[in-house]
Amino acid sequence: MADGMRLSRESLQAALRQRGALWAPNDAGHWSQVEALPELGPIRPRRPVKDLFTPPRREIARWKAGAGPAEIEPAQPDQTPGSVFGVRPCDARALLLLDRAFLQPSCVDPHYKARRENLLLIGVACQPGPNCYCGVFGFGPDDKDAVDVMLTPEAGGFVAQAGSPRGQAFLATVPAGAAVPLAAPRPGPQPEWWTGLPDPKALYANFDHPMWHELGISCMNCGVCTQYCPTCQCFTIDDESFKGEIQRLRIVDNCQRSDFTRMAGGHNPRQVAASRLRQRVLHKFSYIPTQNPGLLGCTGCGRCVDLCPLDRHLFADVFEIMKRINQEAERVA
Amino acid sequence: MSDRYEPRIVGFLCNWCSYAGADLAGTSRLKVPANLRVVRVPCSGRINPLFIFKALEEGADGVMVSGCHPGDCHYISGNRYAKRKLAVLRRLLDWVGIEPERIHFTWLSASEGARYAVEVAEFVDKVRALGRHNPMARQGVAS
Amino acid sequence: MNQSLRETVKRLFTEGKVKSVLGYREHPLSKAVVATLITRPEDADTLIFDDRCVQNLARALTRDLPLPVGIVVKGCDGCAVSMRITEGDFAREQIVAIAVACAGVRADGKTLDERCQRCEMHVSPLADVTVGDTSSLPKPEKTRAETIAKIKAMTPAERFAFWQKAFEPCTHCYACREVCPLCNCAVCVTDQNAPRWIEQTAKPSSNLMWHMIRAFHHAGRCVDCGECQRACPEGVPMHLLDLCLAEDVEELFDFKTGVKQGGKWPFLLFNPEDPDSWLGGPHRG
Repeated sequence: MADGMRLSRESLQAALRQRGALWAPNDAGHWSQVEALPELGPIRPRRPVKDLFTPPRREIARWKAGAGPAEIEPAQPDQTPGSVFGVRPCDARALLLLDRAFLQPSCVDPHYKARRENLLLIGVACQPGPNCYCGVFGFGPDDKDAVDVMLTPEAGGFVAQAGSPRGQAFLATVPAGAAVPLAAPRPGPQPEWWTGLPDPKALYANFDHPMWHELGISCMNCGVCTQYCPTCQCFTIDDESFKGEIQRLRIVDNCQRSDFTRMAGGHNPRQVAASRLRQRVLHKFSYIPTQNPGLLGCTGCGRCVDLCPLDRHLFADVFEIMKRINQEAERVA
Repeated sequence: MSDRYEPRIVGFLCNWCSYAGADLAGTSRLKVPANLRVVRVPCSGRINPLFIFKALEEGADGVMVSGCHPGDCHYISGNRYAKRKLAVLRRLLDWVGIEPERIHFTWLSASEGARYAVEVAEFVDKVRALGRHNPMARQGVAS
Repeated sequence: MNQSLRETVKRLFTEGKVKSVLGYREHPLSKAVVATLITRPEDADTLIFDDRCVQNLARALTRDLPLPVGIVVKGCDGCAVSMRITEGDFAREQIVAIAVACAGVRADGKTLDERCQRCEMHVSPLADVTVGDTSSLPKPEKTRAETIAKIKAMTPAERFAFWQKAFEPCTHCYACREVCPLCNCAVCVTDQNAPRWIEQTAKPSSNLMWHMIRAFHHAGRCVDCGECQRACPEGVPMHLLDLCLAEDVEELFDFKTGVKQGGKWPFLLFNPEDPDSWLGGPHRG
């Protein structure tokens, strides 16, 4: 078993401050810049860490309205070096998926790239809540694979282990504490009735199944699940203006909105609520794993379950869908 | 020029009475404060509360709404509906902490050019007394 | 309760009074109570009603459901359905209201919801059948006036500051709109972009605009089911503003939403005697 390094809170904080700015979740669970390491709650914060990398509202460019051609000032990527403290494994894993969207070679988002390059991810092992299901995706509450440094809290400080070469290099700058043996990684929680991930192809093959409509009645397409989802990444472009000053913004959008797929001319391929619900499930559990073997569109953070105003449960729905599909397949066979 | 604070007022005037009344004030060469920017609407019943909220948000210090006298509405009763909506709108502004006095409502006929001039002047004075600070007004693109 | 509810629903199916029924079921896996639509009498055995049934199902009523549709309604839900009929969303005969005696719901599983503490409408006024014992329902513990008293007591500047702070966490997700049984505009003002009435991103001006127009659109229509506030992922107390206006509408127009059938929304009516004092004083001429 590999050893971890014991770090006092103060020496970690000093080293992080040395490195640059510091972000952490605040009391409301939103990510904000802080001066000192805050006390974290036991579970993931309310907002996913994607807010720092692809915020809900980001300026792309600005210009002034007036006669003659406008002088467009593109927004510059934020190159502030720093660290993010308190990243949970589920949120960090989600960033791997966002990388796929925003760092694909054909189209790199410079703002996202700058943030990813400049911010060190300091993970903190968590105490899973009642709706956390990272175990479904094969990792646990102290998984270090997607963060630079993973900390396990203990009295007065942390036990640190590096998750990446960058994290390794950072740990070398912190006054070394005693080496302590690391506990075996804890398995992630999963629903007791869960039997395994759905087959992406089987899900897609049942695109027109009536069950989507049966489930649709329990969903109102508010999109809260998408807004708090660490992997949801859809955005739209909008302009906002004030007295001739115009800002072009990239703002969060989501597939649950009725106008998300509405086209010029009025046609909307996802007219009914059930089709938008289906889109969310299929995107996470069929399209993404089909196109990117090894990746999934969900990391089991369970925010959607916690926050759904109508108490829907994504995993329970997916499980029910799979059960229906399997039963019907058996009947045919 | 004095450096007296000149409030900016948006006026929603009904096409059939109040706007004609404003015209009459002009053709009668009456002095009307220049603080009022007039928006002509087909009927006071057409005024969506959004118009008024938006005007305040975009920095108007006051909003004047004027329609035909009760019974004179070109569309029979649009102004009566407007009255009910505006009554609640004033209450709403009060509840969120914006002075309802920033909204002025008056019935004005096409023949009342003189009264139009008086109403506008009085309202401008009233808003000036309320002060520069319309709390709803935006300060910049991101506010 | 559950047994008589299920029997009632089966009877409605066999008598041919409904083609579908909107109700609550306990999800077999997550154990949470979710909305369900049943179209066969044998599925009635999944229906339940207890204090976990926090949702207002009236939000799920659409005309593409198999009609006539039965709907399990608490008192507040029934008022909302009644309002939708009043507004012409549905014909009376398209809806079969299955009123359940509701002693209040508990969203957190323990304490009675704040909205239920002031409830005067434990049984829906719109009821084709009634299920449960309606004789021993609790009395309201507090009034709407008490709920909004603290806002009433503030100065205008304090009120403005209070709402600015209250709306600050709003992310414009519009869950409050989606969950509201009476948010039934074909295209919401927030989704209109020519002109753009309410800017899409969260900031002080757009937060205030959204919550003001939301409250205004619900003046005289809100049935105080409190779903907007419950649905809000950030806990914005926007329903307080609805309550403030409900107080005004009752005072100005003597109108209580959803209670009396066949009534009309006060903005669709007028009285020639409506006083000018509403508009801030007598108007000359």
